[in-house]
Amino acid sequence: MEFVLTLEQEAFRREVRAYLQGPQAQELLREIQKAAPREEVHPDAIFKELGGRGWLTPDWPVEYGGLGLTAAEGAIFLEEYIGSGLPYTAYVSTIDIVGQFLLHAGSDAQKREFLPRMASGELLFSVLYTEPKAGSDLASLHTRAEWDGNAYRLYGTKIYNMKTNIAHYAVCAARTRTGKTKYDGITIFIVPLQDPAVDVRPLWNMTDERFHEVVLDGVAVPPERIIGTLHGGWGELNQALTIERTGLEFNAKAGLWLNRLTSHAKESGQTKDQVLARRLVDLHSELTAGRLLAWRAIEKRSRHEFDEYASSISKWYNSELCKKIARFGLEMEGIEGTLSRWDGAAPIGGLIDAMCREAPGLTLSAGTSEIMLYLISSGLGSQQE
Amino acid sequence: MKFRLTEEERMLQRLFADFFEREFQPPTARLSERVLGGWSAEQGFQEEIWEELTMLGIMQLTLPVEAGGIDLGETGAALVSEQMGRVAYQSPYFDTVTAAGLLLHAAEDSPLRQSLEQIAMGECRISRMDRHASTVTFQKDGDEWIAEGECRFVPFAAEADLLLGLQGRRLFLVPRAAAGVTCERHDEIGRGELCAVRFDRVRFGGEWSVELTDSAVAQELAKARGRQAAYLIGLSQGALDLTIRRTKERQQFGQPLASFQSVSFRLAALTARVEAARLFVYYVASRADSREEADLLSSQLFAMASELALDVTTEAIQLHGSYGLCEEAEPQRYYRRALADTSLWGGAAKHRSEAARRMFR
Repeated sequence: MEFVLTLEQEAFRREVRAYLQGPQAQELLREIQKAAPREEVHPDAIFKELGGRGWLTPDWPVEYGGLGLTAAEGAIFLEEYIGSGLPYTAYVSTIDIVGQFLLHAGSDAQKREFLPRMASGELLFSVLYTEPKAGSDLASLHTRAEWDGNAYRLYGTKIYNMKTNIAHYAVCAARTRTGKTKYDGITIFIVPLQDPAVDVRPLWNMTDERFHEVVLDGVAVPPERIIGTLHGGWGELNQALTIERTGLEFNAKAGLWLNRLTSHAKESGQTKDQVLARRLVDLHSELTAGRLLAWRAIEKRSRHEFDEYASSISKWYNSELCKKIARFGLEMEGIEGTLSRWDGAAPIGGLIDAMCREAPGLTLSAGTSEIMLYLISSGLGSQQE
Repeated sequence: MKFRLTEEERMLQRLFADFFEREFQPPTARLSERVLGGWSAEQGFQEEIWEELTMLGIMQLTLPVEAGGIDLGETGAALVSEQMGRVAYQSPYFDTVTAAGLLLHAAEDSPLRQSLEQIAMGECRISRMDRHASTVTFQKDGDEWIAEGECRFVPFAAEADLLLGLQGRRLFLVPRAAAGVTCERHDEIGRGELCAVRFDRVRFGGEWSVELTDSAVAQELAKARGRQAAYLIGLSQGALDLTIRRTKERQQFGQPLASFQSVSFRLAALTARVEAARLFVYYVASRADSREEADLLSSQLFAMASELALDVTTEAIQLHGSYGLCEEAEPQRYYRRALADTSLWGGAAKHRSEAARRMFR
């Protein structure tokens, strides 16, 4: 086993980090820190700058706007980007989830039409899967797509999706036929969000990123905008979800949070408290081990290897770690830690309040911990190494 | 990064896995322990198994070629340690390998280096006396040394050829057979071979001592923690494997226990932790093999592996039901081994505090 990256990869990391520590990114971070409640700043200029350098998608083929490098460079960029503290939901949604899906299952025409503008940072995608009655049991979804002779018309409601208010398109799962089982007859569509038959409303939650409720009232989608096969979307969707699920974004978030807490603990002299210091040790140990789990999943992705067991282990471990870190932050600062960033006296710029509001959602989004444990347990006793 | 074993590593892993599969299953495994309260019985250490392991080259893995080894480094040691842990096999392996590692830092012309050849052949067994607070002191007397005092919980001291002590950065190897050395077994939860060793003005020659550097000692002790962590991960995996099998076979309410999520989810969570800790083991081993500093990481790893071994083996008994408590069943053996072995090394708490001291110097 090898746990080091190449010299070129380390150089790439340094280059990305240098830019993200530079004036443009730092200015934006300050702006975001001062943003009003519920005001979600999308780092548009930086996205386009990163896109222009090919850094949003270093592992994509050059013809689609990437640098033709490997999954490792993609992972390096993700670690650095999330580690910088910049907002990344739109990046994960567009590049990681939808981008990977198109690369694996999209037609050449679809790849040519969408990928380059996603890679450049111009085009944003949201993901419409969850419905009021279909969460973890996604295959029981109710959104239907009816063929009208020219196009499919989609009817249904999607909830808990993010960044849909600024996205241009969404990837949407809908039922095109009733098959023998619920898994047969699901199709994945690319839906235009600016259409009058698409109504996007905010669903406010306790975090700094809203959910949306999206009502599709007969929005027309031509057959060329089906990703993969008609009626065969479930298998393709699952494959895409598994390969995309590396847990790395959760580990990077955990790292961002833990490193900030640790710096604060050192600066405030709290690391002299042995009990606190030991808790930090354990959290750093899990961070290190969790990063290895995520990079193992990255290695599998780079070999197009479908491994639900490794993916779900990493997602479970790293998202649960984020919750532990948030909890620890609260213990460290006590009631002062509950002050938000809109209160001038909040420690660490209101980080602890933000973490505590965000953490519970991390073991729910991108596959709940219960589903992760279910997937892991399905693989028990049949692993070989 | 690469997360797969090389072909050579896989072969090594299979070699020892197959060996233990053949030679160390219950009831042989159960016979490796003493009976409850049986500390004084004259039940020897299982010589045949140890001999076969040495013939497989277990003592040569970490030694360089010049010292009679095959230089597979800490990754090789971790692979084999894991396999020993899977069957909860105990032996003088860990202490002897650590002693060999320390001796490699002694000067080329040091007479102690001769022990390395015997170690490589499995003909010299060494037990460490530096893990516990001991009252043993070493005083110089002319060209000789005099050892006086007591050290408790020394593994396999009764069968050792040499007893290793560390006083600062000075290493001592006291011949077990020297006059004035007595060993008395403890009767402890692991029912293993832990002894209280007493030195009553034990005199031995100056050739049995050497001064090392602080960094050499730190380096070797870090590697020792890494290997023991690998063992504990193997132990955890072994307990998990037993429990996964059991929960698939045992039925209640008309279904296998594993079909109940309250059961399978707990196993899944423990499995994820073991997978994470295993990668950590090989990460630390690879740093040691590249001669990178691993003091802090190995303490962190050890704390994690200790907690995990205790959690997994406790859960293994629980998920076996009362059967898990029975003498004829394996879970209680793994549980007792986890308690004994983690405590012997000071447990998670000690390594966590050491890590905290290093991290926040």
